[in-house]
Amino acid sequence: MSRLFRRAIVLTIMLGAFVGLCVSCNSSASDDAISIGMLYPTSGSQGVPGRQEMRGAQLAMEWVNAHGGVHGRPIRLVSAPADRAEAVPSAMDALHHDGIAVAVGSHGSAISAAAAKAATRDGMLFWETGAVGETTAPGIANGRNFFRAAPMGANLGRAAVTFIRDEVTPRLGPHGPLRYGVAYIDDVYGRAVGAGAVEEINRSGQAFAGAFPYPADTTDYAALAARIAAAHPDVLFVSAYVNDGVALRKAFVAAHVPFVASIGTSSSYCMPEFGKRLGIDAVGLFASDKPDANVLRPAALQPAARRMFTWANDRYRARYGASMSAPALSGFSNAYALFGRVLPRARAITPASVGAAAVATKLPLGALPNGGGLDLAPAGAPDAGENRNAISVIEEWVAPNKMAVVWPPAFATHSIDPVTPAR
Amino acid sequence: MSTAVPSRTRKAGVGIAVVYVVVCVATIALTGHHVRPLFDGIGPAAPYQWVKPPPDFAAGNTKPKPASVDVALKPDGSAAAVVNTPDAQALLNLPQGAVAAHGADTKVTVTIVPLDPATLAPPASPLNADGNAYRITLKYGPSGVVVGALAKPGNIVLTVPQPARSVLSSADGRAWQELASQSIGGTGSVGAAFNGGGYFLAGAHGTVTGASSKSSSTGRTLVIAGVVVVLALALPFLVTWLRRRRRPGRRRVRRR
Repeated sequence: MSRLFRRAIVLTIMLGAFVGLCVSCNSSASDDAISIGMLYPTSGSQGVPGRQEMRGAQLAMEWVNAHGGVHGRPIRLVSAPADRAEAVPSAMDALHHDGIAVAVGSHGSAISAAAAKAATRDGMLFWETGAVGETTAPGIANGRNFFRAAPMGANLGRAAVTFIRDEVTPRLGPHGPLRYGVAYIDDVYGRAVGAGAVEEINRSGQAFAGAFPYPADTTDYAALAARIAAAHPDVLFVSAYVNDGVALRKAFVAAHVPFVASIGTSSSYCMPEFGKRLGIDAVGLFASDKPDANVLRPAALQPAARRMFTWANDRYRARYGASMSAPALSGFSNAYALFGRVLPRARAITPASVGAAAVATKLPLGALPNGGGLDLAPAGAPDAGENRNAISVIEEWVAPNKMAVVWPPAFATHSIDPVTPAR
Repeated sequence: MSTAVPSRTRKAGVGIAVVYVVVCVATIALTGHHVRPLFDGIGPAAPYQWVKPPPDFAAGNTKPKPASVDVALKPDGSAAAVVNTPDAQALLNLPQGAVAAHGADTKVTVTIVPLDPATLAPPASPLNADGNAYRITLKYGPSGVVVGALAKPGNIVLTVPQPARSVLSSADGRAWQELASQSIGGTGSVGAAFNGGGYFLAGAHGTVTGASSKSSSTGRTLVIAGVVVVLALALPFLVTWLRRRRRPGRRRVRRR
């Protein structure tokens, strides 16, 4: 090989390296940090709980970085605006353009569904820390491009019906077979949770009074309440947001509909706003939900999870003046599951490697600071991408503006008190 | 299309819209900051209603409807009014006296028509159309004369599917002018002063919603690989070229 030829080879390699360096200078991965995308609504109708969940994810990043990062590499969160579902494709494209392969979010079910679709299209991995709504639309690769560490909406619905059937009805005294009704807002969140409730009612052979989906722009809740009452349900399951949940509840109270029990889910019945606006009319209602810091029993956590919970809750309170809400705790715990437990097992920060590590990581209940664990169903399973060890609890409004966890026993801070909710 | 007698629902909607705009404008005026004057946490935003939805949001899209409202016109000008499309995605706030009196005319008909922005000129780079465009017309009644510039400016607020930078206006839909704008209630709405009818559109940076980005880290890797391959292929020619250049040079050196 002539000297000139050797020089030309060296020149080529140097040029290639130079071009590579120049091109990668624009990349967010130009330093040692692992860049993770972050999509949460921070303004608009879901801005407050979305910000809380995002703050939880940021605390998880801080915890992991303060404990050595991922094999010495710190995590850096790159935020993309996603206040509504329509903003998600562009936000995900922007992250993808910046070379980011993995993103966390999103609190809102409509946002989550759009993110799952965009992640699949862009070949990214989206890790859901809070939203529970369905992601079953075509074009979503659950278990490969989408994972949900939070409970699945259908599981919240199932848990609610199971709780009423197994724990409340035995405490009611003599009664005939109870008829179950299911009312839900007709969107990705309401349908997912409502479907789980209906499935459990049918699976366990309960008498079914009917399903009552209602559109998001419903204004006549008296008419909706009358339609539901006409089916004579003894137990009503409700999957709603705060405004419609409160309006429907007021309509039932005004019409003196005699429910034996009523239970709702995370986006309405469990919200402090729900209790504030209904006062005494909320007492006796149950809610199937993710736990928040005020109702969680740290003693039910594994020691490491308890330390993390205390650290995060103290820091959150110092920064934001309140204990961690359910979205904040969910964001912290589920983002930690990714940052602290899954990423260290991944051979590379690619969707395929992180996805494989996610499915391989198994954490028992109580291992995460919200009391949950991690057992993600693999691609191809009926519940692909869903966390079979996600934590959900049953809460009850035990007094005006006061809510307590009543189930499961490990997390319960109050006994089940089945007062008749409607008067 | 004119709605002479608004329904109770519309009245309620207008009432809410009036309160919203008054609170927004007052808050902006008092603070000068981007603010969120309404309570959060009430559920997800209503799905955006597209004239022509991007593929990701085509399923379940509701076509937006136009609005037309008659505003009373008195000797001291038009009454205060809020005109909004039924989906509240375009909202016009007109203060009392916004339209000056005009001969024997007794009303001003305000019409808002949602349009597909692709049927109009595109915004100047780097902006992209963010959601629907709107054609807003104001006509005196019963004469039918088109209202020119407003005597007092109002406000226009557009709900946007993705964070917008500004409201754009155009007299004819062929060239856009960027208005001094402000996000209202977070990134979901953008507002600007309204000085008269025309075409209006929100402009955003970045890709259009739902469009797949072809540029990525994979793309960068391919660029690097491509450059290296091109250089490798050019290697023999480079060697030959260097040899040819060097030989005469050596000879010249030797001659010296």
